[in-house]
Amino acid sequence: MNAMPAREQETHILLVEDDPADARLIEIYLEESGFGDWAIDRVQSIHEALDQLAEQDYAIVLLDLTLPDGTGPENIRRIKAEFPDQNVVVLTGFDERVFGLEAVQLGAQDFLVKGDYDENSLAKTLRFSIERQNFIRRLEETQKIARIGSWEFHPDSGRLILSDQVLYLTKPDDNEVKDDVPSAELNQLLRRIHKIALSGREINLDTRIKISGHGERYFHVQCRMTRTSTNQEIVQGILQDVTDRYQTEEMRKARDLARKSTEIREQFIASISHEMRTPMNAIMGLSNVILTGDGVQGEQKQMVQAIRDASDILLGIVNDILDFSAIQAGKIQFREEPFSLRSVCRNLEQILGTKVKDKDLGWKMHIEDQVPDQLIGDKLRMSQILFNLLGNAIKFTEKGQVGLYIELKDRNAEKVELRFRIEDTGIGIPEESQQSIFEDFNRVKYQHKTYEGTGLGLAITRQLVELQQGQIWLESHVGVGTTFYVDLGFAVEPKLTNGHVVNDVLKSSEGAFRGTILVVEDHKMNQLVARKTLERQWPEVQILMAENGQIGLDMLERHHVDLVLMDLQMPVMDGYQATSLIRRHHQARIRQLPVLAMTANAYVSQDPQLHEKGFTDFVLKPFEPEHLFARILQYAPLKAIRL
Amino acid sequence: MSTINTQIDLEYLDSMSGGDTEMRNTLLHMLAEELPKEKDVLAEAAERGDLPAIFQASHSLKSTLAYTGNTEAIRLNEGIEASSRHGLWTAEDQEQLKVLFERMDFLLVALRDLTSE
Repeated sequence: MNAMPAREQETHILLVEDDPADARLIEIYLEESGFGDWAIDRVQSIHEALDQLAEQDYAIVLLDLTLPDGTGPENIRRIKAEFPDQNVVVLTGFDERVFGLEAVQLGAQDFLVKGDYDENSLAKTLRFSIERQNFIRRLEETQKIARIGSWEFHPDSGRLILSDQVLYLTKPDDNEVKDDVPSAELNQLLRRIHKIALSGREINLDTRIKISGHGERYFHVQCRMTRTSTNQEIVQGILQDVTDRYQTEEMRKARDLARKSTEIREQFIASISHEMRTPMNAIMGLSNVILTGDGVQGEQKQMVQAIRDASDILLGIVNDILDFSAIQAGKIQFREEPFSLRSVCRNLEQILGTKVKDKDLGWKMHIEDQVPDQLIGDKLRMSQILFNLLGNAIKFTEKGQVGLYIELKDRNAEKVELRFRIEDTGIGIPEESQQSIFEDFNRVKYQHKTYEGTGLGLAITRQLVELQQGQIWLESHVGVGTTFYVDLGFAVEPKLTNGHVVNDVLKSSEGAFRGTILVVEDHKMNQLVARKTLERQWPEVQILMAENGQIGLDMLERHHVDLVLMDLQMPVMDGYQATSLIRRHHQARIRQLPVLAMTANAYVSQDPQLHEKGFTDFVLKPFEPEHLFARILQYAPLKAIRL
Repeated sequence: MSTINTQIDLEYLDSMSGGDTEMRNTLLHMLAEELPKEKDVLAEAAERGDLPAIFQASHSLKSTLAYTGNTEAIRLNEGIEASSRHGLWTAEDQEQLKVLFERMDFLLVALRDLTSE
């Protein structure tokens, strides 16, 4: 190899020429042309050229097409096979012009015909080739960033020219492309779209290509037929890898679909529960009416009792499913309202008392004296937590006793932290089951017996505690009993909802209502159930019936009423509007009335209107009589109650 | 033994009345009385295309139909209530309403038989 020393900023040229005279002529022309700083390394064969290119970078390869180890376009093919990005200008003989054209088609930047160029055209060709090569590099870099590849198809010759990016994007792995052979999948796609493009149609589509090792990748493809300056048809196209965008879009769609499905599921569950509660209202309400009357005896009474018990279980399941669904959907909200702790506990005692008595169990409830009675928090959720735990304690205890103990754990000016202890002398929970007892749908088997229920009760209880920043845990010994501990915080600032004083001095189990209740309900059969239920419990009660809110308001003007039970959806004037008007009434005796909403809407506690319009509290349909009685006694004025 | 009737779920009604004949008859008579009235109210609201009135009527009908135990009529009415509540009314709802009225006509015939027993 003959070499001239290269300096910095020099254009480094590899001259592949076996004829010393031609080589010398190139050097002379370059010196005369003012080409700038340059340096030439000269080799005399393709073999030497390939070795030299492997060792050093060159801005230009000046390649003679007639060499000892190769002639014609084969020479450019060999260089390009190993160095596809190399800038090559071909030197051809005067009668080999056709080879020059072919070499350009194979990737040479240009060609010079020996004897037909001078110093100026040599310099110009070399400069242009460098600029074109730089331009191509920048374009390829841009394509790489945008993950776009381009191609050109010449139908006459069947020649397909693919940019590196096309090959890179469709290659089975992420390694640098080593050859210019498109994958079978890409070939198939190109054949298909070339056929369409050649029919004159423009292609603009999203498609996917299976790539070995990468699964399916998604591409946006645009392609159309154009004509060259010599009026030859060619197909030009671009292909962009849009897999990330597509996957993001698919994820967004999946997320939207999941969200929509959740909404539909929630609506479905709420709707079903609503529909289940309505007929259950009749079943449970009238079963209670029958059981408290003298109409049925013996076997018939047992059958009605069975209906009542089954409905009770069913209602529990519906409530569990609703709560679980609301928790899952993040729809549980906790109210901040004042309530009497002892009153809530007495209500619980009253509700669960029958079950304790039925099983002949002992019952103990103790609230430490230093535990304040007036708390601010969500009394409904607190009741639910205690009801679930005490209900379980009774269910799993066959002899002995069940107890609720409340002690003060911590307090400051604004808050108290209470510890609730629920003890039983029941079957106990095996140690291996104690970890999983709070999981969803978990039902502990005991002596091969599975107890009824959804297995959601404790999962819901734990969620209700933890969502209020509380803690729940247990201690249990098989055959000895179980103690559940719940730590919950409450605010203690005294504040009354809607100005109503809660009857925390009253033991609801001892009270009998002898005042007047206005039932505002448009449905006659529901009216019957409400009237029968209340009259059975309290023979002295006076019931006034109003078919809508307007009639209810008129009746309040004319009659002395102690408490209102208000349906929500009614014609003429609904329960929301009627209650709102009651709260703004000029007479204090009406304005301050306790108004309990009656609704079958499972999510009523999250209905903001209930609080805004001034409802004192609510009662869910179907009525659980004990709940209904307790609510009435809780909010009714003392003078309407006979102790 | 309760009578098997394809339109009214008598077993359900019997469970509500708990063997109390008077209560059972009261409920049946109330149903026989209320159902045609509520059907007329719903039909008039639909005739006017008055969606709030359709919602009000179907909401009231919901409680009444629950006492019949006829699940198909309950389901049809549910769809009508949901559509009218959301202010949406399509040809499909109109078709559901037609089917609901047909089912209610059958229910009324069955109720007439039962209340004249």
